[in-house]
Amino acid sequence: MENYHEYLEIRPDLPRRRRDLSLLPEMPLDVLLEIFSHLDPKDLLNMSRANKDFRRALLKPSMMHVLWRAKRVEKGAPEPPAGFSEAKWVAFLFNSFCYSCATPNVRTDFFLLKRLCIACKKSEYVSDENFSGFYPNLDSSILNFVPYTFYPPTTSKEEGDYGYHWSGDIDALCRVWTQYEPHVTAGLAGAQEAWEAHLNEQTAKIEQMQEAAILYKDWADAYEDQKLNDKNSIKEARINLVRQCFYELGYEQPDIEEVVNWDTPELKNSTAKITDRIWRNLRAKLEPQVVSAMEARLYADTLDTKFLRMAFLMESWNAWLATLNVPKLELLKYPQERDLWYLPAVCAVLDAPEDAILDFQPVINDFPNIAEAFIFTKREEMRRLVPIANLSGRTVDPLELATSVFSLPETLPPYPAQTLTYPPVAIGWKILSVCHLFAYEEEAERMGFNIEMPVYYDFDERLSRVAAYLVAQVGLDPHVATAANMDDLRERFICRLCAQQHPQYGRCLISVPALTWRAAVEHSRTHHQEVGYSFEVLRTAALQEQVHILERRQSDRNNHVKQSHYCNRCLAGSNEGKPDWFTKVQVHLYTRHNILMPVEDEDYIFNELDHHKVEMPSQVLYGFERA
Amino acid sequence: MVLLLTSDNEMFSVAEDVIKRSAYIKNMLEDVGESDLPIPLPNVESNVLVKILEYCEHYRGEPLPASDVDPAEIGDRSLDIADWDQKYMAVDQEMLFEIILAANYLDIKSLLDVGCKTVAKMMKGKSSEEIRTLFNIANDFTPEEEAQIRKENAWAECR
Repeated sequence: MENYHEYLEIRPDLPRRRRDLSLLPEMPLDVLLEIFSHLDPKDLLNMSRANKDFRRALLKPSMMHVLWRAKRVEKGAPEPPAGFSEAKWVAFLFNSFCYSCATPNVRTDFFLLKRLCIACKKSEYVSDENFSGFYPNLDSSILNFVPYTFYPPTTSKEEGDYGYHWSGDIDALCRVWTQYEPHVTAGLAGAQEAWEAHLNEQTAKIEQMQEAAILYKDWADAYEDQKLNDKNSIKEARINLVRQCFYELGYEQPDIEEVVNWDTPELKNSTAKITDRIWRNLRAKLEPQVVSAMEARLYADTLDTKFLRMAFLMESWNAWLATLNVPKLELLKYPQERDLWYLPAVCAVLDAPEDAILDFQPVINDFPNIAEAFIFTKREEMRRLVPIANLSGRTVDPLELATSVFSLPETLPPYPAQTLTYPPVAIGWKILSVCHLFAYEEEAERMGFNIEMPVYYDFDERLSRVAAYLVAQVGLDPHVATAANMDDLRERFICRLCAQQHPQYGRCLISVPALTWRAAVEHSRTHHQEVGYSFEVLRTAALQEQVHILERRQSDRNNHVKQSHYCNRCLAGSNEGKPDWFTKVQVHLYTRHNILMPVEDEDYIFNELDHHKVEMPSQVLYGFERA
Repeated sequence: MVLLLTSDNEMFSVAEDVIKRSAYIKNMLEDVGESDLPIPLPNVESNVLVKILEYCEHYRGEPLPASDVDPAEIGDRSLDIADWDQKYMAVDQEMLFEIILAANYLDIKSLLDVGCKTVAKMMKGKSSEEIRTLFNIANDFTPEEEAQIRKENAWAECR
């Protein structure tokens, strides 16, 4: 071994570049082949474009005979056609750049044996139609000897009716023909035979290209399908593996499959192997979703049970309602299904454990108290919404004060549109009691369900101030005056803010609405939300008379055009429990209850929910002076 | 024990059943018989041999792979790498390069396979630009050459 030591000592320390992977092309051939054997043709093609060293390594004759051929065979591709080396053929099959301009992502046309982008096809495809434009001095019969495709420039998926040729192929053939032409023209011996042989050869070549193109295309289509299948198999395997990991964590199939599926974004766009690191990342993202899915499923199961129980209760509730002999006016105040759902007595039954043996009878027996307690509680809770500052020692019922103005909550769900059913402004228990507003329960919404939860109108402090102002305008005490007091006065108000917006200056006569006090409050909400309020009481006797006449007419009209009345003597009334035209209710009262002169709120009731719709102000001519 | 002498003149004493994973050493031992003389490894530096021995030590006792695999036999083989091998190969590019060369020189097929797979995995699915970045190499093609290559016209000369 002495020699070896000597060798080491005398061996010059060659300055060497860092031996990193940039020296890959210098690796022994068998090592390179081993590395390249694991790569796809596309990877090798990308590598060949990285730099000259890599390209040279890939184009060594030994590589040409082993690697490129192996890659083609590995992918089941057909033998290369004439004029294609193994490497060029693999590049042709697996690259995607335009043959003419190098635009990427272009489909191959096997009939022309070229990959051409749409722009190049459009500019360089020659057909019978445009031949003379391209080659004015050439006979179009040359096209019979040039490769052609039936795929038009605009699509590579559907064949057209005409053949298209690549101008470059025509140019190349022209160059060949110019070599024959002088000989044939000069009548040289054998020239005509050679020319005809060439034409025959060219015809055979074109036919062969057409036949081979079908094979190439079939392979390319099958390869694309295979790639897609492989990709899907990998995806499926990834999905199954991730599902398996979640099963091992103790989650259940429906929750896992809800989250981990073909549409899972975290799995959809990747085919990478699920390593420990990738699983950790996926788990961090997907586990909260699986937990949510589980919670939603359990919630849905609970809901199903509650709905079943509620359906049974509602059957009993409706049967009980049918036995009642109470005026419609009262019935409209009774709790609806969504109200009942949240009442403690009902909740106790609905929320009982799934396997509990339930006895609904105590609840059914308690329906009268449940209804009474609901109405009482609602009234009390709404009373508590009235600010103490609005009250005085002489206030009889805070909820009946004219200043107790309530508005629809802004957070009502947009659908179904409760704003169409319920008035935007509600004053007094009479209207508040028959409004059954709801919002969607937040927890249920989070789980993907819409569960209606009863809510109340909001006390509207601004409109309360407007109402107090109107009350003071007619000389009453806002702490004492009730909505009924204001209704009885039958005063009408002119909105000064609207009048001031009239474009005319000086004294003028303008048409303005004569508003009831309730309409004035609503008018302030609708038209002057941000700018304050200013009303004038309509005092002129002539105008008051004019208004009364117009309103009577309006009222008569409303009775005939609006379905806003109920029979207060029976549950079904004239329209199966729904509001009806006044005249129909009148007929019903006479025929069913023998009442000829019905009295409002005794024999029939007006649907309070329509009050704001029928209380349309009459337009009066109002003398006004604008500075 | 087998004595190994690296190119930087470091001597290693290694158990025979460990180093026999190298077909090169195994054949040499079989040819030369028992000897006190160290086996010179002029193509392997000590730091690389340490790494190689770590691999051989880990797989000590495991059956040796068949030696009749044709290196030119190329097929679509999986790029799966065992967890331990992956961690073992988590080295800088210089060491990875040296491990592959040493594995090739010492004829340790399984290690060469892992090394080649590691490099192939690094390259798989990468664009030309990404390969340049990965290997820290410059694009020495002129724009014209590059366009020609893309258009496949440059493949025409390859027969």
